[in-house]
Amino acid sequence: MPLRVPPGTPVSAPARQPLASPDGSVVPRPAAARPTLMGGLPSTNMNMMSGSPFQAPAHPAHELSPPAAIDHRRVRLAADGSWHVAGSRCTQCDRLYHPVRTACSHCGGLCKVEDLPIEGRSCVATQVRSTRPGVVIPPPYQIVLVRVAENVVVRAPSLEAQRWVPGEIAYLRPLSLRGDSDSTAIMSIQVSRKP
Amino acid sequence: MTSAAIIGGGITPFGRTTATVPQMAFVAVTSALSQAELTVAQIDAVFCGHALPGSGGGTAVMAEIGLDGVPVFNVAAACASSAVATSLAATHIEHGTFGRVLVVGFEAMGRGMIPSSIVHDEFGRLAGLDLQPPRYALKAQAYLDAYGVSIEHLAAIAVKARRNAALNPNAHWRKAVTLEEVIGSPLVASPLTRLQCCPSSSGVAALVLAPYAAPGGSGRPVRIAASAVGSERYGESADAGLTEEVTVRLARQAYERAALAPADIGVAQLHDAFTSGEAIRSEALGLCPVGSGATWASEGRTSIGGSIPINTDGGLLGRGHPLGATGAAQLLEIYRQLTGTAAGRQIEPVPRAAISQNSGGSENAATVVTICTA
Repeated sequence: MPLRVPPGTPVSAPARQPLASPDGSVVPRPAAARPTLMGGLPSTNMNMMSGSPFQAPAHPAHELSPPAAIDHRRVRLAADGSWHVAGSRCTQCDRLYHPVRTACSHCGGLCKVEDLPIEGRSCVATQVRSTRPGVVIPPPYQIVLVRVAENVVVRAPSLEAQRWVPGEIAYLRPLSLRGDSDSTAIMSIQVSRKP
Repeated sequence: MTSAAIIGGGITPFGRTTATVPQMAFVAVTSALSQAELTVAQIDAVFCGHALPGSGGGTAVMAEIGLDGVPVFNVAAACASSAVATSLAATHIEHGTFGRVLVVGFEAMGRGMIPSSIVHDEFGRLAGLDLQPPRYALKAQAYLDAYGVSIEHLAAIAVKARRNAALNPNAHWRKAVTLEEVIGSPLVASPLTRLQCCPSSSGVAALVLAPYAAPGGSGRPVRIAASAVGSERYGESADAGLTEEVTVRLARQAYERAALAPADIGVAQLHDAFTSGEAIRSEALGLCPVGSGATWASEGRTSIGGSIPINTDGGLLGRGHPLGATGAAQLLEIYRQLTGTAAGRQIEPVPRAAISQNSGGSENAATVVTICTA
């Protein structure tokens, strides 16, 4: 069952801790100081990553509305609104990569976008206690490596307080972050224990 | 085996400073030229390594200190900038393009973490995925999990670095620290505490390179026996970027070109931006068995006086880390150790061969392994 990210109303963050919303998005900072939750899906770029990474977007980025860009290195939104973790497979030697890349580092063949499993096992995690300006998830949070296929590991943040240990079953879910300006709002991946 | 040699070097104190980059560069370059007994007029070209100043930054700085008019090559490879610059300079000498050249690495840095340099990864920037502390922390945690190494073993690398830095008058940190202080310092990204992270420093390091057979000045030549430059293989995600495949690969190339083996190495300067960096890279260079990089540090084997001294000037953890200057600073320490001029931190007997490993960025920059012989 593909994950769906229903359209929603932007939510303000009342506290410093990340606010998880039902659609998997978070509010990384108080609304007055920092960005708010990205509500819903962009309605204009559904077909951006349905095939080759060379495929032109349906609309220029500055026309996206609401201001939700997709992290094309890591996720794909299908035409039906379903959310997928994106990888890319070499059309010549069949190697699979994540994040998405244009060409194979083994043979140089063109890579084509392919959906990856959203369930895997954690390999290793770190709890981040200190960051730099521009990082919009307030610490502490974790960065987790999740193996979703042989030779394919996804690196993504986890907003859950419980420490991740190697071998745990992990699910990849949507996460939206917005920077200081609308142009940096972007949808990607978080790691969760909830499917 | 290349035909290029280091014949002199100079360095400024690393750390916080109000001095400008040209002022620091003047000190380092003057010192380097003095040691080589050369003048500015005898320099054929300059190779500048810098990470943050932007396009042409080296040319502008060189013009300020009287090196205008000569070819200036600007190299931006993050933390490996001046190691790449040195490799390029050696190659030009090898091919006879230039005779005597300067390598100048510099950086003026503020406090705090540096931004991600993967400019096309906006989500990574917003989520902090590409900050160096978490990247090295993941390596550190995986290392602890894989080899049953304790955090005390890893922290011993920082203790050793700060002990060596206390012997280096140009080091950013001049005070030794205890294991308890390292482990008890604030957590940055588990398992790495603040004292297991290198400081952001300002500083300049300069080297004079010349043909080994005809160095010109009176500086004692130290041959650059091999310099291997490479980048990470993006597709090797089976190890999730946790190992040091690029260093293993480049070390193999460098040892082969230099016709040396790890057992021939008497001193090493490694990119210890974080303690896990030294543990993993000392193993990748073949200096100690896999899984023993941290325990060897805790046992004193990598200390001055140990079987394979590592980061004798304090490394990035103690000497400091002005991004563009670090590669040249590592090679300058090697030059001093191989010429017996490292003063209070000199290894006895004076080693005959040394290796440096300098890493820049992640997917975007370079790794350089350089072997030098006396």
